[in-house]
Amino acid sequence: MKHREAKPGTRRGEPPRATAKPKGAVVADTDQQTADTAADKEPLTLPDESPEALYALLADRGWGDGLPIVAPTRARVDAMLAGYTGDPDEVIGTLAPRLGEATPRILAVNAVMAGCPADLLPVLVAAVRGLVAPEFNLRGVNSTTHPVSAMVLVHGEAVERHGFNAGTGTLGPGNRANATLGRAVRFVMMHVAGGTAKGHDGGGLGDAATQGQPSKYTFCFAENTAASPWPAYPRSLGIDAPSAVTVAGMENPHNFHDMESRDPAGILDKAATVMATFGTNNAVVSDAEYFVVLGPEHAATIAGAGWARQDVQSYLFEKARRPAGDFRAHFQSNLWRPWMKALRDDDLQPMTDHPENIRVLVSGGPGKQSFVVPSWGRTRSVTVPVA
Amino acid sequence: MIEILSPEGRVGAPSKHLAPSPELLAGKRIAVLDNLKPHAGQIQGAIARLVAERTGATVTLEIPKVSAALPAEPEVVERILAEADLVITGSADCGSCTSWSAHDTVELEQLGIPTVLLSTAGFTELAEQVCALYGLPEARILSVPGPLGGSSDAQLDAMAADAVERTLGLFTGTAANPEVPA
Repeated sequence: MKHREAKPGTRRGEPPRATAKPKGAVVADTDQQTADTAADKEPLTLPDESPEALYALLADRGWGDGLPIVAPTRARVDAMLAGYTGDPDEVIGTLAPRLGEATPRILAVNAVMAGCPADLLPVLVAAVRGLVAPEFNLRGVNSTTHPVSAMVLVHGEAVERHGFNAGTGTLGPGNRANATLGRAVRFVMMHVAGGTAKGHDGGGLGDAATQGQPSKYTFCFAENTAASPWPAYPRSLGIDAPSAVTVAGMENPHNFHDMESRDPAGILDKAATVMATFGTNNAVVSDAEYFVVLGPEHAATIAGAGWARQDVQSYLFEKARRPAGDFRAHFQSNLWRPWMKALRDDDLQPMTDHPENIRVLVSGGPGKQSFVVPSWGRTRSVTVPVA
Repeated sequence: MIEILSPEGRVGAPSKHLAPSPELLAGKRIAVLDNLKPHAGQIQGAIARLVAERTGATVTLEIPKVSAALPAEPEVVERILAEADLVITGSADCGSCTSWSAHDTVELEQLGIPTVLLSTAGFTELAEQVCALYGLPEARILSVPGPLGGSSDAQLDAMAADAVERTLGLFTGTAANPEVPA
């Protein structure tokens, strides 16, 4: 029984596909949605690796982000897997909304396509373990109208080992490891999880982001532990691994600069004004996180005054506020803690319900610049050790 | 010629089926599962009451879940199972709320509760796709023009009144909409 009009890309006897137009695709049995992908049954062949041949493949399958890719040949995928010591066919998780099975082997295909160096797979696997954690809420992140992207943050020995840039220009462009790890995570969210926008070659539907945002192409940077006056970020979470990756469902970063302050308050008051806007989902979801990423110079000024990471968190919790009456005037629909709803109109309501939701770390190079990253809301960051 | 591998991976979800549809709604208990999106509970409640008035069913429960961007909590589902035979839920009028409302819809149908998912026109196709991805391509999706947020009470009442007949058809499995052409 069907109630509705036929849709483009849907044929009788074939379940709708979230990721691609069905031309040339294998036809799955409606009652047995466990059919292998086309490539598992019949290898895809191309005449050559020219940009024209690869772009034709991407258009036919509804794959990719619009930028050129590296051809995922068996030899390249095998080379990517060679540096991975775990089971290449372990099902790390089924990724919503498509419920595609993420295995290191499939992740390796995406890593090759994204241009990752051959040794990067363990870091990508750790990132995807973060995506499948329930608190990340991938189903929501991958389907919301909000532009949320998966921010990928690399910590520890992996930074140097794989050539990530934690210094000047960490958010890019220019560094292969940063650029391609973030892109590979996005490819996994598109190809395996089905988070493709409707405008994606006319075929996708999983990702309903009204406009999207530039960081959906790639959003990866590294913690500059050497330049940080505080313990490494994973340590602040009780994670004592040599390397780790954090994934978080966030908006584009918003920069703030302070060229003159000699004290923590001058710098952090500016961060607080960036945080205290009604334009982010943090305003309506009180347990949402912020990442406050300080440049080494700002961090040195703050730590030089004797401030620990927790002092930064507490100060921002105190200063990033707006009158409770203003909150109420703007949002009838909200997810605020009960105690926040009890505030009087002229009380100052914090932008988040606990200082620990304000995640503080150091990244980048010289300069008086830092940035704030707001959250999508109903998602929590996940930090995973790199195996 | 070169050989290329697919980046997609297998899809492992089994297909699912609708709960049995009642022939008549008389005497049935209807619950409204509200995701707290602006006006979602209002229009779903209005439709439920109009359907009840028409058929002799009763609206026994109007219950919210914590967030549109999360699944219905187990205790909410338990109350629905205890207090209702049919559910109207939604809204599917944004991305994550569509995804999670579809999730709730499919779960409730698997628990034996016929469930109508209210979507707005801009998100009906997404709701259909997501229900299909969750293994239930024939989910009972009720499309109203929308948007819900920002619409007046009169506009919402008109959308509700226009939706009653289709809601009846969806619950009883007799919706007059055309079959999907081959």
